[in-house]
Amino acid sequence: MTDTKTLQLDAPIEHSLLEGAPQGLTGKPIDRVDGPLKVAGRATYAAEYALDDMAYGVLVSAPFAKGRLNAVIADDALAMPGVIDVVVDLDTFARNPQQGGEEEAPTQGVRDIDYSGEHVAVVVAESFEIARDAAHLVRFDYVEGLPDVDFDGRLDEAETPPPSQMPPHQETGDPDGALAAATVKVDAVWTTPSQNSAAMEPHASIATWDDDERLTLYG
Amino acid sequence: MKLFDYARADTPEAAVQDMSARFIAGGTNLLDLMKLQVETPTKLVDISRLDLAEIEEIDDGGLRIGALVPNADLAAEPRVRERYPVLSRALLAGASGQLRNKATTGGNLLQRTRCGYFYDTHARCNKREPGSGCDGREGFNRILAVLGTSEACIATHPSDMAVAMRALDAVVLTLAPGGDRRRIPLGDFYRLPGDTPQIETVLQPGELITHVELPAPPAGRQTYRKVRDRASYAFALVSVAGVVAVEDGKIASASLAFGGLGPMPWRDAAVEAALVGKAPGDAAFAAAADALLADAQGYGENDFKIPLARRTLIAVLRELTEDAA
Amino acid sequence: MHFTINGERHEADPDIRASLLDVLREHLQLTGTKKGCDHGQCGACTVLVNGRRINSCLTLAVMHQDDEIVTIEGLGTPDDLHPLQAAFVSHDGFQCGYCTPGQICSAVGMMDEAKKGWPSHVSDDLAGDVVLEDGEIAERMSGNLCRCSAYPNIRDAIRQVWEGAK
Repeated sequence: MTDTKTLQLDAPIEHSLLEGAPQGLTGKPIDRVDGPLKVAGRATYAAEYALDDMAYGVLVSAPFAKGRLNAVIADDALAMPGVIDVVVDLDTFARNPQQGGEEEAPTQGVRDIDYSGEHVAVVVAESFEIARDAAHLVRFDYVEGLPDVDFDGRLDEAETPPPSQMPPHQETGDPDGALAAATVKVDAVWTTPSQNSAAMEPHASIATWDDDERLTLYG
Repeated sequence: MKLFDYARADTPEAAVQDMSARFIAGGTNLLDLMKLQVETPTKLVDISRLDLAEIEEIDDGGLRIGALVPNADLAAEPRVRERYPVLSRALLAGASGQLRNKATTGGNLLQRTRCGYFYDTHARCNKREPGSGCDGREGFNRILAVLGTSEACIATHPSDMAVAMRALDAVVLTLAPGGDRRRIPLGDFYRLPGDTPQIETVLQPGELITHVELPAPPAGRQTYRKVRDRASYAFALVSVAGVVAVEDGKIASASLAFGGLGPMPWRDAAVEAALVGKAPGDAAFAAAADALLADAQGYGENDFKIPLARRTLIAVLRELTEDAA
Repeated sequence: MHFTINGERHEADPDIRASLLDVLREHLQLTGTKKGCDHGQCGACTVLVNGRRINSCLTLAVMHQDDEIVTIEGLGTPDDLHPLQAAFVSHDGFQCGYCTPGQICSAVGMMDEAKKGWPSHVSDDLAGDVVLEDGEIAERMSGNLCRCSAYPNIRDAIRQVWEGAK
């Protein structure tokens, strides 16, 4: 067990960040400054900047969960009126960039597919409706592998991760002993569906090049 | 969504002229499926403004409900709340406020399964693509059917309203191209999947549902019980619409329909035969459950629906006969 | 196509497949109404059509040329907030704010339904008076999801306006 430090916060503490921050705000129920814009529908989210002559992109997913993607065949999609391009490059297409984890460039390359729905190309068209329709016409040449989705069957391969920089405050009791000694025992397994922490707004971005070949991204 | 021709019909007769066209009214199921290219109609006929949104009295206190009456309005209609509370409760248990405001009576009957393999155009599905196979049988089939299934398909029908209407002996009124009008008891309206799960009803191409009729209100108590994963805004795992009358200590009549169990609202005369003439009590209720589930077949993840259906039916029967004369 | 939105007439020339939601956002620059799921499951796209709350993602724009459409922009502006918009601010009924326009439009429609005496799934008596306590509000608003978990504050905001209007 580490040493425990305690601090009592029942009076102002001189020379502390808590007290040095803008005065009189901590603990006060103030309205959010972005409130009126948000409740009136005037706050601008990532896909809501109205630029001239916008094109629309719809992402294309691999039709399998595990395997090797050899080619993305875009001929039929490109032939649809209103389609501007189908962006395909198996080696440079961004591969689910890890939020906050990348430092120089996103991980690229989609030749190896590892999950259902993995994005491998984008259809660009004059309207959302055309892009969405054309995305269904994209075809694939691939070798399908066997996805491994057996969580329960591989629990014996689970590892305890190494300690991180901040050791946890941790106490372990004796659940087996307590259960054995209990007057009433209920031993069952309940499962819940997997949960994602994800805000309501779908990820979106607007990209625009200017005359000096400078790219501005709205996100 | 594939391109389509769009036209608005001014009369029901005009609406049924083109047998290759699909009708759109509320659109809350059709557009969902069209966005995913599960449905790819080439022509849509907008019937949403036709004069089919009234609820009229018919003989003996029954009601004729226009096919375009929104689900929300049907649930809130005083005569439905009063005479057919099982229907009001079933409607209120379904979908969300926004969807109930838009979905129509006719559309609710015709909504399609929510089976994940039907929805996934990369999966094998005999309903969506006849002959391709059924990935549901050996797949994630927790929400799929345990009664009325076939080698080709184990999908469930997702409607709550249709289950209550089945218990109420509803009749579907239609107008066919050529002008013929039909009266189709709801019990004859849906088809078992068999070898042709892509054919879900007895409607002919271009045939329009114009009304649903409810006969005079039945005797006895009515209830709708829906068991699902969430308290709201989720489809039924198992549901029961029940109407039971007790006279002189015996069950005089019973009408029971089930959701979540089969490819259509499920009703079985053997269930009711096990109850009529018997004293209310767990012996009769267990016999009814035995009759319901005699041929039930689970596919792995949905095995639980069988004991769940038993318990839900018995609970409904207890509720409907508690302290009854 | 032509549309009457927030009392004003608008013209647009969208694809026949365009949803009402996409016409609002992409053709008319009325981006207050949000796209969360595009399949009628989240409620972020809720608008009022002829006074009734609907999911604008699950309807074709072409079918609504004769309707009165009200969006979040029509309920109030940052300088002149609708009472429900103001209540959402004072009760902190949002964090990211993306579900918020849909919540507010849906609540306006919902309170109208309650005023008409419509029962809900959780009402004990189908014919009784409507009492908008927590459970009723939660049920009637179940078609509007919030990922930031502002639900308790959303219910407080709605209840305040409902009680204030009585």
